[in-house]
Amino acid sequence: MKRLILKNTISLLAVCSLGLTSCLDLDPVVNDKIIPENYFQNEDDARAAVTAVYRPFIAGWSGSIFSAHVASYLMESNLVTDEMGLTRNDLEVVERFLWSSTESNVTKHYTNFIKHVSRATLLMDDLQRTPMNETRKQELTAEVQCARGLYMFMLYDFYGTAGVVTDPEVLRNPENEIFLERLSKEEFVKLIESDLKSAASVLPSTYATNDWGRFTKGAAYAILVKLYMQEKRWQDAEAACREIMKLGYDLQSSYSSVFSVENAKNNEIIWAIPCLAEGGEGNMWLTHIVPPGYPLANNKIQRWYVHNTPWSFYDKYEKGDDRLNSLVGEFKYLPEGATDSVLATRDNFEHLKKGALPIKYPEDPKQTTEYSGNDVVVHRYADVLLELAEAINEQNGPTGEAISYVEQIRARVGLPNSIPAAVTANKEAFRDFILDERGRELFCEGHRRRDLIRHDKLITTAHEEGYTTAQPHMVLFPIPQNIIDESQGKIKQNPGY
Amino acid sequence: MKKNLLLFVDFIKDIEIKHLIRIMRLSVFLILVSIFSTHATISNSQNIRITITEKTISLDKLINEIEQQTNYLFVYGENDIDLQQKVKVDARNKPISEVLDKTLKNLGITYEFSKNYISLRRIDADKTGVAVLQQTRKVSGVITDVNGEPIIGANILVKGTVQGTTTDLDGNYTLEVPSNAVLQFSYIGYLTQEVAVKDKAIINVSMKEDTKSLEEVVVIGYGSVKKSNLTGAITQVKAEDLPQAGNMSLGQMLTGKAAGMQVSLQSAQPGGGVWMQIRGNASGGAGNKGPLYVIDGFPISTENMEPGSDNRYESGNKSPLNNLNPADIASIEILKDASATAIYGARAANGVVLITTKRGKQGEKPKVQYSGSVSFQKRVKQIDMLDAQGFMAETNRVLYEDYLSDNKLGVYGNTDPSTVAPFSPKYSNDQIANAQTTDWLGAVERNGVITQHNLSLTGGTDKTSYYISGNYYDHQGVVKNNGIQRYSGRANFDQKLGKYIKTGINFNVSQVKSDNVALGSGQNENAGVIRAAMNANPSLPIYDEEGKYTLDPDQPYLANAVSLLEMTDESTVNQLLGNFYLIVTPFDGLDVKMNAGFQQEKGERNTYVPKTTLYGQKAGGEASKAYSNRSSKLFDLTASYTKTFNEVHNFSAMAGYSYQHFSSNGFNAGNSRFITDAFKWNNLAAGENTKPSVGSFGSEEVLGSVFARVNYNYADRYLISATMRGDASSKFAENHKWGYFPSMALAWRMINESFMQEQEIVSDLKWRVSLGQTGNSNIGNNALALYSTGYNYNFGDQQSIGVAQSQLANPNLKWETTTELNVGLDFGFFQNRITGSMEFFTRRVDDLLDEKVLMQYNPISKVMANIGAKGSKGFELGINTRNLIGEFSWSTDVVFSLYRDRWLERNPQWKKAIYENEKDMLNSYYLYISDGLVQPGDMNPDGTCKLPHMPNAKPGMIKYKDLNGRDEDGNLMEGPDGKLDDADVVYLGTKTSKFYLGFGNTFAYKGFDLNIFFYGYLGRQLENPAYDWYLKRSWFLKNGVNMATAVRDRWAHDNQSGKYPTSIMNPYDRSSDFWLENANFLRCKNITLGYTLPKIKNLDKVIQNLRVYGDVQNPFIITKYSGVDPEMDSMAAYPTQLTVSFGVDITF
Repeated sequence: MKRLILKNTISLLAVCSLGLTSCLDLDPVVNDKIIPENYFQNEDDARAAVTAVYRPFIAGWSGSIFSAHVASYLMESNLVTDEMGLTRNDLEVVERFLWSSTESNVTKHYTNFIKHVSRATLLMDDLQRTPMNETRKQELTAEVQCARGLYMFMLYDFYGTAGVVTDPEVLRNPENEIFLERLSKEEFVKLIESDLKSAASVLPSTYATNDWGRFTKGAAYAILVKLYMQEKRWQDAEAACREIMKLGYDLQSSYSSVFSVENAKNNEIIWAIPCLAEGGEGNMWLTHIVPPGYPLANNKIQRWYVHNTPWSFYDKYEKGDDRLNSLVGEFKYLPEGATDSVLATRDNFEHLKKGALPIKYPEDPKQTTEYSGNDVVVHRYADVLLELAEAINEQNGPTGEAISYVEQIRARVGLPNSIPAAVTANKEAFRDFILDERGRELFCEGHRRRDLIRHDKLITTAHEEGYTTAQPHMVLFPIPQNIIDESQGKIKQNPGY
Repeated sequence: MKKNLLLFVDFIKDIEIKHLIRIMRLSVFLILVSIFSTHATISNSQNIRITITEKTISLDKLINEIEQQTNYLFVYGENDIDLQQKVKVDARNKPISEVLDKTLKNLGITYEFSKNYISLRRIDADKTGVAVLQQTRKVSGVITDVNGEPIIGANILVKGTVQGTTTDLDGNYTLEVPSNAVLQFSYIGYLTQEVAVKDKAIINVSMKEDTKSLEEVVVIGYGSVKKSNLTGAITQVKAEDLPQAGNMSLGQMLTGKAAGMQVSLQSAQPGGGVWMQIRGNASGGAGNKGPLYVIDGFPISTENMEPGSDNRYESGNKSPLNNLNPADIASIEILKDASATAIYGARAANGVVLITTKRGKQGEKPKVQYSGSVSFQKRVKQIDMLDAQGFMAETNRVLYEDYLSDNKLGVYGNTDPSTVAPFSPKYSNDQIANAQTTDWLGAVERNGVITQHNLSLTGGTDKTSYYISGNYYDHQGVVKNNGIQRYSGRANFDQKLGKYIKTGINFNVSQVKSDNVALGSGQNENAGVIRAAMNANPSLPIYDEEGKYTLDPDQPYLANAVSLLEMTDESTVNQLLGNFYLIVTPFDGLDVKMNAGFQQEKGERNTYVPKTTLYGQKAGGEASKAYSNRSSKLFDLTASYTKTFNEVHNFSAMAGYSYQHFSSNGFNAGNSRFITDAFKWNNLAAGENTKPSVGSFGSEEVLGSVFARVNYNYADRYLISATMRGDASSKFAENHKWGYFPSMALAWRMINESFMQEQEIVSDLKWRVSLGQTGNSNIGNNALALYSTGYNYNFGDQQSIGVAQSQLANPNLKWETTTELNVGLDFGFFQNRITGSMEFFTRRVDDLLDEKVLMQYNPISKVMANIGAKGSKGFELGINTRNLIGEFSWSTDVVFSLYRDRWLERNPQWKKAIYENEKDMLNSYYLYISDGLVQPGDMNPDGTCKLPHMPNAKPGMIKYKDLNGRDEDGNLMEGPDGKLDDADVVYLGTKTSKFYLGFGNTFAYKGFDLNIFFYGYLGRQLENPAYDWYLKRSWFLKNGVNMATAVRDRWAHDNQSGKYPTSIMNPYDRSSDFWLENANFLRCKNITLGYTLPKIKNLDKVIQNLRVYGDVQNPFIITKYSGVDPEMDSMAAYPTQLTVSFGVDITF
């Protein structure tokens, strides 16, 4: 006995430890994410990946494109024009044309957009190798292509041309770094055009209700119109508008109902960001606009009171314009402890002193806290009608057809047959009138900046607002310095910065 | 693995049954012998011959030898026979009985052959009385230590004989001795004393410590060594050196205590986070988690287990070490150089902290100790905000300044004032005169109270020892409704199973409960209690006329600060930490140790935002409940062997294997729109939100390791130590699963050289040098390509789940390797009245693991990569002096350390910002350089600024220097270019403090003891984070945001000598050196005065020791810094406190 036992011990321990070594499984365990080998296997995978391409458009997050947050693409577009001001000092550098090349709030979109373009490029390639129904595959690919076209258009809008990647192989191997250059204007426009055109040729014109919000043929054309308008390719713009005319869109009978929850998915909307008060991303517009004291039926709506519309813009509306029910310059309210309601005006109400209230989106009775279910309208038929009128006017002057489209818009808001004769006398007068009418119709929808730039009025409008620091080069925002640096100087800054 | 564990259990059973024999008392054993011996088949002879050639060996060894050479097995009572005593043997082929006769006789031991057993007995224990002595008399007495504590098991020997005895549990002895005898009193660790008996009947002896043999033992990774034999850089902190009262966790206690360890407090809130860092920050670009913590051999997780709040508010940062009761700690070893840490391989790059908890000692009399304290806290500093009058007046002034500027009046241009509308102030003089100030910060603060109780039981029998403790700690913070409590219990058991086996268990269970308050420094709608109170308009009352919380119409996004206290946010972190060890010593010198254990942590958080708060009202009440679990299982197996050859060649070796498995998972759910606030989080289904929130996560990780260490020591003069560890982790790509981390250290104990024996000045001198490598693998699952959900979008009326790639793979990812060279010197002067250590080190971190920035066109911006090399250099000094000894004693401790961390190499694809340099220091300031404020003289008549790079600047704005520009290719071009951009940014060195200092003095006189401790950081500059908002952005007064009182000292048309910039919003707002201020500080951490009551007759039977003390923590801080606290500050900092404590320590 005796020693033998202990010798056994040691050998047992040795076996034990060897055994453990052999069962040392060093494969990584990932339980809550997906490894690439298991992805792009079927249509469900493809659909979920396409959903992700839409993600940056959501309304309810400060970093997203169409959010009501002060530094979003949408709001910065509004802020540099005369249709929007700030009640708080959050982003005066943008409102007052004080930015420089180091202001990340205006440069950041460039980086985001080129990344979104790349993600779309990769996904279009991934979709090709996904086993699934060929027609669905083509439709999904067209959605991604339309998104890419839109991302590139937004780049073009804010920064002029950009360096983007449309070759998936470049992205498959990120270690192999490519120094991009900014494409020439012709090349870049052509790239956007070809994406949107080929998307438009495949995309369906409508979807079933539960797919509402995806890119449609109409959406692709609506973006294309914007591109042609900025390029002053009036004939192309007109043709694209007429394609949209074929798709069955119509004006809603009341202006505010275009934006209401009750009338969601109405057929004036060409493309919108679907919003949910709960259970998904919501619309933060009203929260950003409503000041304390303003009467709302739903007391769960949070009021942050960040943006307003300067009085100078408000005063461009005529009396009786129905749109002034959405751009509120005065309202009745019941002061605390009072029995009779009082009319709040810019002269007596603290929170109207700085400007009118752009209550574009009517209350959602289901809103709680910051988020409402009003879909954020990006492209709509009224916009297309005015664009068509402008495209015709630029080619042929104020024709009857062109005037009739403007008339349709005005008739809807209770101003029928009120276009002054002097306005339709010549191309230039009608051009100015359309610009103003577009401002009144599309206030705070993110189009006015482009409209003013197209008519070379962005800087003069800023000067009229008292922002004397606005300079001609500020029609484009600066490119982020780190993009220039990483390109080792191949990407050049916009002139003036 | 399971199978192997089962095998192991079988083995233990095996051992236990067969070897239990050895641990039984002799009497029982002899009965058993007769039963067992019937099975013995081999016949033995007393004349069997043996050969033992070693001259002096221990009895233990002799027995081993005989057992090996024969079939005899020795039996003896372990208390009876001292196996360590030396015997002289020189036997060549001698009969066993002859050898035993010669050797055992001198030891006073008799032996007896019985079948194949040899039983040993001590002569004086032999009732038959072998040694009969004449003229005897009875002597008795008590043997105590210097503190008067009885010594159990001390030896009393009649000089020149083998006759003697040992003391009992009360230190008593009785012995029959010849009247001319001289008694020798001895005990391990004490100096042997001799007393002549003469006619004394009672001889009480107070033993004196033998400082040489009582030498400290230092715990190292997988073992321990005598301090004098240390080869690596290790700092030991004893539990008794840590401040007792008013500190929740170890971290808070360690500030300034250990050279080489930088401890900084992150927040002054109860249980607030502590950042501990050993020797700088060079390693761990991917997230330096700080050092690896090992408690009693178990590497613990130090993840913060508290789930997030799931609402818009954060509750601040807490220390993950809060679950560990500091009163259970016996000592802390801080492993610094690679020689010390390399044995922990891939987790050791940021140092290792070994925590040893208290244990009972064998033969120790049971001892009950209670310590308790109560502390009172008062906030010492909070940022000074404007009162109502100040707020209104300054708001008017800000508006007036804007009016002047917008209309280009006065200093802002040459407009005729009569052409513009007159200025109308926001507040009238009447309003200002009649304004009532609300002290918003005061309304959310209170005085704090801390109470704590510790009760422990320690003791041991000859085989078993134990330490059992319980702790209760309760801290009510200085912000209302904010508090933390800990309940913890620990049981450490050790059991000797005879000669060969020792086993034990450590078990710790703890719960930390927090009452959280929204303390985040988020702005606007995310503002927590303190930020909301700072923002609040001081002229508004807390409640309106109806008793509801006031809302500020100027800041409609801001919740009423006091209302936020209505939120309920509870979190609980439970922790179970248990490990079991078994040491088998098959023969002298070899220990085989198995250590298995687990750590189970569970975090829970429940929150409710009631309808009485702004956002709670809008959400209809918002509830959430979240859990997170984390567990780690450990199995270690080590074998260590020690042997001395020829008395001077001391050799030891250790090898081991370790396997650790980690898993974590969690779950959370929430809802809103409740019909009542009454449910809180207890009825989530009652919420009416159409899509209640729900989430979960889970992950696993495996670490397998082999390691070894060899030590050799020649005559206690030349020491060498080498270690090696191999670690394999599931986190890495297939090609780089294993990493190997070697180290080597040499030491020279110069003091033991003969030439050092002549002098008396130097009492200790040891040189050390070490070189080794450690690693870092702290990258989570970041090396894999992953697709994630969460890229969701609404289509139609519902949300669709979107999936996108969230992470890129790097198949070539390698371990980060730190190579460190350390040179150390341990010294002592004047009989160790002055002792200390010095360390110089230089380390280089290669294959630095961090995110590599990719070209911006990639959808995923970063990939985990080995991005370069960083280096760190430093010096550490720790000195202890005993300035006065004797009745009045005074000792001083000083620790000092400094580090310099910098980049050494960058990845070739490094995206360099124009102001960065290849070898910049870490944690750098890159700032614009300011040049005072723009003055009216800098302006053109049309209102533009003369500075070409700042044309839109207005008087009173910070002037920045246009230092550099870019050439055509984007390269830096020196000299002004008329543009203010990042080419003008300048590298200004590191934000990290240059020197760390700790300084303590302890005085003792009679029963009194006084300790005063200071620590400080020197060579640092900070920007006051509260000023970043509440001074810099004074234009926010227009929005109703209150400002710090310092705002009065800003530039204005009527205060052109103002120190701070104007209230006109600055379009050139840049991070600049303008705001940097000297943030050096020296904090008096504590002053403690204690009094130990003298022994009182009869009472000392019950109470052995009683000490009462009073303590003041943070009584003052010496600094020029303007913020709340130079150590822990934030935009809305938790106020720091002065803590006054009273405590008592009682030993029963």
